Amino acid sequence: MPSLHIVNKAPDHARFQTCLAAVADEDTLLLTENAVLAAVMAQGLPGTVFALSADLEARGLAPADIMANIGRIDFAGFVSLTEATSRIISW
Amino acid sequence: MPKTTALSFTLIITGAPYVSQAPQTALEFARAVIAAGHRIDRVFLYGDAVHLASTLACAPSDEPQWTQIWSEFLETHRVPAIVCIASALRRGVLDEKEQKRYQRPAHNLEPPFEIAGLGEWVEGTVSSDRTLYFHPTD
Repeated sequence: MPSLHIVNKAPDHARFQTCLAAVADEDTLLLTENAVLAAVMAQGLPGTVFALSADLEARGLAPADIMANIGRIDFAGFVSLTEATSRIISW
Repeated sequence: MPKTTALSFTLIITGAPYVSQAPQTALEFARAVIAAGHRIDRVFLYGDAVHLASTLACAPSDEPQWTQIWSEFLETHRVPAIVCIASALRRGVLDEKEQKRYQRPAHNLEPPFEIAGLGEWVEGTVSSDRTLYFHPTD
């Protein structure tokens, strides 16, 4: 069963890299809080990737700055992701 | 609009208000859960998050009063909220019963938060369809 990985740590936090290593191809990765900074970095991210729009806006990251393969979602979208799987990991 | 398959959620907050975003993120998520037609079985405060249940916290008037905002949400949607007793006592978050037991000069637990043990957390993770943690970012 695919997992939903929720990461709120900044990309330079050790837990962020630990999270990436645990994301399988069929998994979903949700960037929240400080982790949304990864949405503008060149580093490739595993799985299907989303970023929380409120946290992007709070950090001044415009939609144009975000990598094309990352979806922007609101809290309703966050809830939808948790509906899709019961395996949810908060890093 | 209610979903055909409504789910039940347990939310566990471990990050403190004002030093982490956890209580804010958890609240926005909780509001979206209700809006999607799902149910929140309970909210559990653990570790530094117990400060969210202190009725004595006074943030500057131009900042969100997280304790009151959470309290209103819990009352409105009749969501039980449990504060981990081991975390709470160490950080000076007491209800009237614990005040008497430890002979302290005041109690400060904001209703409807309740102080209880880890059994409530186990119950939540066993009986809810989904369990989500809201951690600090450090």
